[in-house]
Amino acid sequence: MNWQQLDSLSYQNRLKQLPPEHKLLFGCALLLLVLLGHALVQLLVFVWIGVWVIGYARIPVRSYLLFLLLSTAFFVAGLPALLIDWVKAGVDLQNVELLAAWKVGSYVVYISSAALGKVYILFWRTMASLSCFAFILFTVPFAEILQVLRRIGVPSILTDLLMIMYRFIFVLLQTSYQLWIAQRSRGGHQSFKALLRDAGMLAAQLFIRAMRKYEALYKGMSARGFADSFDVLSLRSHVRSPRYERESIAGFIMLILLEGWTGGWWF
Amino acid sequence: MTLLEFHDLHYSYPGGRGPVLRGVSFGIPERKKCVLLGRNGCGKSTLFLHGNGIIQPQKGQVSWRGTPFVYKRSALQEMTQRVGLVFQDPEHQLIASTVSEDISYGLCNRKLPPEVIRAKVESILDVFGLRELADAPIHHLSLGQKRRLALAGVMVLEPELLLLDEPTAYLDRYQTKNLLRELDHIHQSGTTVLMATHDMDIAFEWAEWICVMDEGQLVFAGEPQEALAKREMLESLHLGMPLIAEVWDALPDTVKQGMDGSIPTSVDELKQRLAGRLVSSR
Repeated sequence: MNWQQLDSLSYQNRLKQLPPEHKLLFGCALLLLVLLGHALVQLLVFVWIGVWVIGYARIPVRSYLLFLLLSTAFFVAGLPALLIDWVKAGVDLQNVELLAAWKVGSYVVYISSAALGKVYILFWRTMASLSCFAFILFTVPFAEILQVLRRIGVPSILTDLLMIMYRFIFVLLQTSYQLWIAQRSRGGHQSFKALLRDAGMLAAQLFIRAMRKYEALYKGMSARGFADSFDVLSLRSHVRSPRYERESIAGFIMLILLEGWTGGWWF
Repeated sequence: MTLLEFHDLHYSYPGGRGPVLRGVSFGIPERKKCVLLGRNGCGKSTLFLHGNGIIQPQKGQVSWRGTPFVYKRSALQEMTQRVGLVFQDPEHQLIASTVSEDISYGLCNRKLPPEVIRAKVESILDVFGLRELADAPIHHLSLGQKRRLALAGVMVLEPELLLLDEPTAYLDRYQTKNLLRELDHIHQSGTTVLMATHDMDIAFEWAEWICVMDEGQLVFAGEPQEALAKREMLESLHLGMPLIAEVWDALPDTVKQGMDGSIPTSVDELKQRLAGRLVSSR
């Protein structure tokens, strides 16, 4: 899973004809709901978005799972800090419900059930919000996110910068890949030391090439009559789908009602 | 009628070794298919950047239909509309995220109303066969498609003069042929085209007017036939002769007898003449 793949999928998914505003609104509304809501609603949102991404948008299950897995890795990396606590040996732990405790030197290292509960809450919140992000990233091409940002009045300096960054992430990736291949085919990367040196060279070259590219691009833009801002117009027309609109609105209302009715139900 | 005229241009890049242009003077005749020949590093690209005013000459003058360039922002803005410039590396002039957005870029710079822009983009997509790629992101395109898009983005502004810097570099034969056909269309619809190249075969097959540059100076300008007659000059510049001229040269005089004496510039022309001779000798 890399950015190019994610980007191609967003241009090919089955929901691409829906208006990007609707998809963004849907994703953001659900995100807000899972950030404020509780475990049951979060679980339901997670499952429901799964249906949207895999079932409706036809994103390959592998890509979707890989995206979730990679992002969850960050959550897992933070687990020890959340779970494990320690105090000096001899400090009273009567009030703490211990799940496990070890004596290490003059400390007691322990996992409390309160910490586990916190992790549990955090886990569902993380998974549900990740799935909301995945929905937006997989179904709305970046160019359309930009168009929406322009339309809702985000300052043009921001959207221009985003547009150029998005365009040149791929140029940069391409250039670094070419340099990498060139080094490999010329016998670089032989030992760990050589690898470090080659990587350093690559970074320096990337910087030099980026500067050259910048100069060339400036000429290119002048030749195309660059005035003061990057205005572009998209030809893409979108079709509203009553079926998807009904499902998203009905589902959303049900989730809100459920959240209110259960008042933060735990399971 | 001379469209664009360079007069005694001198230019050296800051920090570069020696001047790149050393007194280039020539005019681009209107409504002709022109080719600028020269080896790598002879100053073709630098000259092109003077052609629409991106670079101001350190000495000398550039004029459009007899009026010298004014190096002011508004005047230059106008020149970039009249003179379209297509770079050798399309990566340097493609800016937006998708194909149709990129084509609209130059039009948006002209502050045209959205409906007009939309109509123009729609029609140019069909002309250049980019309809299916309209919503594709730029980084999904192949080099040939990027070249086509760069050309479309320039042609949508309907320039009077089109400058192309090595447009056939890295293209395969099929793509090259398509490109030349597109350039023919552009020429027929009234745009003067000047293409810089070092490919002698393409140059002589396509051109109606040939200019030759070497080391920052113009050494020849004239009809292709005149250029072919100056074999010594072309060889001393290490440009060589087009393959077809070499083949013609190698033909025995008995075969050439009774045919038009001038050197053919394309394979088709040679074929026609040979066929004509076979018929007449029967």
